[in-house]
Amino acid sequence: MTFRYHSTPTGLNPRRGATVSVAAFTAVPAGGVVPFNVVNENILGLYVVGSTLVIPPRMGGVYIMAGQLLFPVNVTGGRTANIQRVTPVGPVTRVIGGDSAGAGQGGTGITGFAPSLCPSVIQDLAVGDIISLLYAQSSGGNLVGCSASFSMYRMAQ
Amino acid sequence: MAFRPLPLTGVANNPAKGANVFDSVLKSLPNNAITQQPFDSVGSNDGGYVVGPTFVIPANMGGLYLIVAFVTFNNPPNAGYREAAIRLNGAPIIWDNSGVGPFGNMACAPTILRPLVPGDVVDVTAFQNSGLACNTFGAFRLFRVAA
Repeated sequence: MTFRYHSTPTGLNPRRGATVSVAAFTAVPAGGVVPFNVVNENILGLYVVGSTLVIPPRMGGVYIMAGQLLFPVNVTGGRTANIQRVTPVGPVTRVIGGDSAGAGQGGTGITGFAPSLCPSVIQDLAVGDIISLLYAQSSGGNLVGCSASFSMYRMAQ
Repeated sequence: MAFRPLPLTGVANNPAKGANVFDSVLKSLPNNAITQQPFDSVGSNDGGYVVGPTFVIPANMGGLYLIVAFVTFNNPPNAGYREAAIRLNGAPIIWDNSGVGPFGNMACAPTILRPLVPGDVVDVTAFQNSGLACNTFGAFRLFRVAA
């Protein structure tokens, strides 16, 4: 397999991907789906359905996916971010990439500002696959002032 | 242009090499001034990329990179323009704009797939013109997906 890099006439930006983010991600409970509500970029024409990204017709292929979660709170506890893929046939739900820190994930807990979590994965996605970013935190209460973004680029057909 | 994919590692098929930095505390961004985002913490540095708040591509590590930045503008005092940019060797290669208002947290997330060569320096700038300084926090990462 070879990744093909498509450059623009200026050679500056392939712009063949999609990025979504959350404008206000406050009062975050113990776990759930990151509620993306801003489409920063969507050059591929991916279907943005609520907080998920769906692979449209003719857009199957190898994708690189990267999420970022920030938990700017001074609360001890574990933090997890996972990339989830749902294939409608079956259906089959799988966690395909993840990142975690702190208590509950084998660590000793976090005090002070939590690190940035950066789950990433390269996968061969099929038309209709549904991608979302899941999170979990074990602070014992809601977290205030979190932020998240998610990007995916099509690398090969 | 074609690139040869690098081996993937781990059960999550993570790309083999990469790094990420982030803000551990809120950072004050002045009004109406393009400012380098001063990331102060290193989350990972597999390959020796991180030099201060910037990434520098080491020798023999040229290739195709996914570069993802993320800057949140934390409750700007007024409506206005918000922008984050990924720079290569001091010049922006991609911007992400959140436009005018509303109040509250707003996010910019510039992302680019880009060939890099040893010695290239990559960093992030932020801009806002709400009329007063506002707090930001963000994260910045890159990883090498093909040689």
